[in-house]
Formats: sequence, structure tokens, C-alpha cells
Amino acid sequence: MIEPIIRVENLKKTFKVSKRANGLPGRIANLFFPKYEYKKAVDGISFNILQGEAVGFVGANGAGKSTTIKMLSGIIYPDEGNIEIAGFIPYKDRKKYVSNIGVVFGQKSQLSWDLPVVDSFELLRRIYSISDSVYKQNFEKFVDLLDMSSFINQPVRQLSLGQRMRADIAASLLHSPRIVFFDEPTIGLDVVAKEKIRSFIRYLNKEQGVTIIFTTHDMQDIEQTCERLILIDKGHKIYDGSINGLVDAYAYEKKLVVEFMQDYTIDEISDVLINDLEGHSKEFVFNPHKVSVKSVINNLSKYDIVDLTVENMNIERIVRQIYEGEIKL
Amino acid sequence: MSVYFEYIKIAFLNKCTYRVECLLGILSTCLQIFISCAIWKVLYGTNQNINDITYSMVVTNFVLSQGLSKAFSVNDFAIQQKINDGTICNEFLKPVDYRISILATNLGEILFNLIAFFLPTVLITSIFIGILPPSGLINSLLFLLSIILGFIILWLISSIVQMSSFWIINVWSISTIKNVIIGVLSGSLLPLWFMPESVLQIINYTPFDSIYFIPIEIYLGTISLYEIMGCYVRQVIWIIILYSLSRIMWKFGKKRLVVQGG
Repeated sequence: MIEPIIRVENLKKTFKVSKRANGLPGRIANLFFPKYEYKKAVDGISFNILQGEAVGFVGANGAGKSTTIKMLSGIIYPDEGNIEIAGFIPYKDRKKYVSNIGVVFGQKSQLSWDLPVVDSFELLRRIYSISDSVYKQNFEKFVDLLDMSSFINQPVRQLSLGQRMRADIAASLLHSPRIVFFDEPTIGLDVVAKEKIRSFIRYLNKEQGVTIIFTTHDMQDIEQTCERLILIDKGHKIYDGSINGLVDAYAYEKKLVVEFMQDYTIDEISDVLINDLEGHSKEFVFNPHKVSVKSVINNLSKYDIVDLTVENMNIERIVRQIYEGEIKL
Repeated sequence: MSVYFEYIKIAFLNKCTYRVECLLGILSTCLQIFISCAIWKVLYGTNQNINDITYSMVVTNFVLSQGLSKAFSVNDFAIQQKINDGTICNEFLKPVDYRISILATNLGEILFNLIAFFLPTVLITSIFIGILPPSGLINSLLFLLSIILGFIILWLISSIVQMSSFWIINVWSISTIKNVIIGVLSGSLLPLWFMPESVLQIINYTPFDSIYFIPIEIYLGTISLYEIMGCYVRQVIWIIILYSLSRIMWKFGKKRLVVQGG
């Protein structure tokens, strides 16, 4: 039995939110008698993560992902529960603990706005007392892998978002952390920039054995980098397991979209839902565990077909349906 | 330790980016000093001195206290800004003492200010209005020590204002009140020689006069060595009190931290 590197037990955090009344009288009354309500951002989350795992941490906006990441990285104090990461209690041993982790916030840059990227790296080298050889090795590797040579000497304010993000990622990893938290690192990036970041994260996890926790709203990010998925909703953990497992369990829906030569009245096929689409197209929705694609197509062989596409239930759609409450876990 | 020198360096380099700001800063401070001095010249009229205070002493007070107060400008909003845009996360993620890193950043900025801003200001004003030289070598050294202690007091007060942003969202009003109090009670708006005795009694119980006024008195040699030692003791006592207060605020404040956005 391998000891988990991250151990989280019954984590809870509540925020006090001021409650504003509507309208001018309400607002004025509020000024003198402020009302607060308590919002449970994280409500009893537990999980273990092993060394070298890549875990996707997914949830709708406001589900408590970022709050959990902030507690795991020692920035905020949990109200209740235990966290133990690499032998440290993050919020207690913050100064010693943070040298073991790297955190990348997609929305918060840690680079000095007015200075060239290298200057910020130099500062980080001192902050983490990175030895010259390690620094040189990491620096060259990151400049190469993240393709940063063209802008490494430019002031940060002149960088594009994609460039800044890559520089930020490199900045968080210069000290060779064993555990890296990525908090929406691909937010607002184009397809090429996203792909660069994904392949870099894959490299970190597969080649360097770095433990990775990755929050994002782009399910492709997760599919391409992680094997395990933790789903959070309203402060609770609702799924924890392999991505394939989730797809297998909930891919009970397949869609066959068929464009016919003309409008036909299709005979009913048992266990298949038929919807009319625009033009001469129709949609056949069925459960692949019950009905095979072949049998559906066999039923359609008597009609003239122009085009035919099969849509599978992918992780993106499953997660969307979970958010919308269509799938109950 | 070397990490904090790096913070000083980065802050210094950051400051170097803004040349226009620095030039305009020199201009505005010189103007302010010229205006204050013009008013006092009229007030003095034909008098050589008022209550044993000569016009040159008043001018010297203004040049040093206003020049230094501009050079010693500590950003009261440092923590508030980082809390508002959420980048305080990044500070908490580094294996350094956040408060020392703020101090180091301020020192870097102040170092730049002293070289690129305070020295030119003193040079310009001494050419056009003329200031008194320090009253002796020993006094200049004692002045230096006292101004360092004064700066620590100023910094600690600002750090208390900064840390109040753990509790309240906008520290602007606290910062403004602080600046007015320091302006009046430290002698940089009105030299404390001209304050009524009753007000001076009260000021004696505050840390504010030890920021600029005590160092300037040492510079001018208006107080005896014995009194100077007493002033040092007062400065050190205030440093201990303010430091303890800021430590307590830090201890409780960081637990209250709410990180906004994302």
C-alpha cells in the first residue's frame, strides 16, 4: 500500500457574505444594520491522492474548487477538517511547505509587471534558493518546451495572454516542486496555446513524475492530461474515479444523425427515440447498451441516405448534464 | 537573507521605469517647499527670529521634512490592492515572510527616491532658498540614526493601516486620516516650535513627532545630547509598541484572509 501524498479529510470552509437588500431604502438600511449570511463554499470534502497521479478537479462556477485549492496550497485556513500534504499541514507550516508545491493561477500573474520575464525568474531563484545547476537546467528546459525564447527578455506588460501564461507556468515550476496545482491555466487561451500547455503538463506528469491537480472548465484539458477525475458540486464531492469509468457508466446515450434524400415517415424502432431536425434530417437517440448501431442502421436501409453521423456521449456532455441535474450521481 | 536584497533590487528597478513620475515628483515637492517658504518669509517680515527660531531653521525644517516625507512614501494600499485583485495568493505561496518582503520592496523604492528624488530636491531648494548645514559631524550621525528610527516608526504605522485591509475592504479613509495626523503632528506642515505648549504636551505622548521633527532638531543642534538620548529611547519604545501591534494584527489578519475572484 502506497502512502498518499495528499490526504484531505472532511474539509470545510464557510464564508460570510453580506446580504444586500434591493432598492435605495433597503441599501440605506443596510448601511446601518448590515445583514450577513453564511455560505458553505466547501462542505466536507475528503480524498487521497498518490504520488505521481494527475487529477482533474472539476466543478461548475462557485462549486468550491478554487477554495479547496487555496486551502490545499496553504493560502487560506480551513474551518474544519484535516489536510496533510507531503508530511506538512499547509496552513500551519506554510513557509516550509510552499517550497514543495507549485501553484499556477490562470487569472493571477506572479510576474513583475514592469520587468522582463527573466528578472522575475531571478527573484524566484533567490526566493526558493534554487541551486545554479538546477535553475539553469529548469530554465533551459522550460524555455525550450514552452517556446519562450522569443519573449523571455520582454517586459511582462508587453506579452500576450498566452505568452504570459506560459511564463507564469514556468515561474511556478522553477524550484522543481513535487506537487503542482493548476487553477484554470488555459482560461482565455486559443487552441494552439492550450495544446502547448496541455502537452507540457503531460510531460511534467509522465516524464517527471510530478503530482498534478488540475482545475479547469475545459473538459478536453482534463481528458488529455488526467486519468482521474474529482467532481465537486456545491461544496460536496460527487464523483471520484477514473474518467473512463465515468464515461462508461453514463454513456447510455448515443445519437445517430441521418440526413435523408426526402421526408420519410420512419417506422418506429423499439427503444429508439426519433426526433425531427431541420431539412430532411432526423435524430435517433438510443442506449448503446440496449440497441446496437448496426440494428438502427439496418432499420434505415430501405431509405435513401445522404449523410450519417454518430455522436457519442463524451465527458464534456456528461459533465454538462451533471451540472444541469440531468444525471444524478 | 539574500532573497530580501533581491526584493530591494527588483523594487529599485521597477521604480527606474517611471522617469516622468520621478521628474514631476521633484517638481511638485520643490513647488510645495517654495510656497511654504514664501508664506513663512512674509510671516517673518523684518524679524530676525521668532521665539529664537530663525527663518533659515524653518526653511531647513520644510526642506528636510517635506523632502523626506515624499521620499519615505509607503504605499498604504499594498495589501489592499493585492487582496482586491487576488494576487495576494502568490505572496502567500512563497517561502518568505510576506511582511519583510513588503519592507524590502519599500526599502528598494525609498532607496531610489533618496537618490533620484530627495537629493535633487535638496540640491535645488538649497540653491534657490538655502538651507542650514548640519550643526556638526556628530550631530549628522545622530541625525542619520534618528531618521532611520523615525522611518521605522512611519513604516510600522503604515503597515498597521495596510493590514487593516484584512478586516475592511477599503483603507482609503484610514490612510487619509493617518496622513493628515502625521502631516500636522510630525511638523512637516507646521514646525512644532510654533505649536502651543498644550498641544506639544499631547504630541509628546504620540509617536508622530519622532518621525521627522526629532531628527530635524538633532540636525539643527537645537537639543542637547542628553535630550537626544531621551528622544532615542522614545523612538525605540514606540517601535516596540507599534511592532507588537502590527504583529498581533498580522497573526489574526492572515487567518481572515478572503481571496477574491476565481
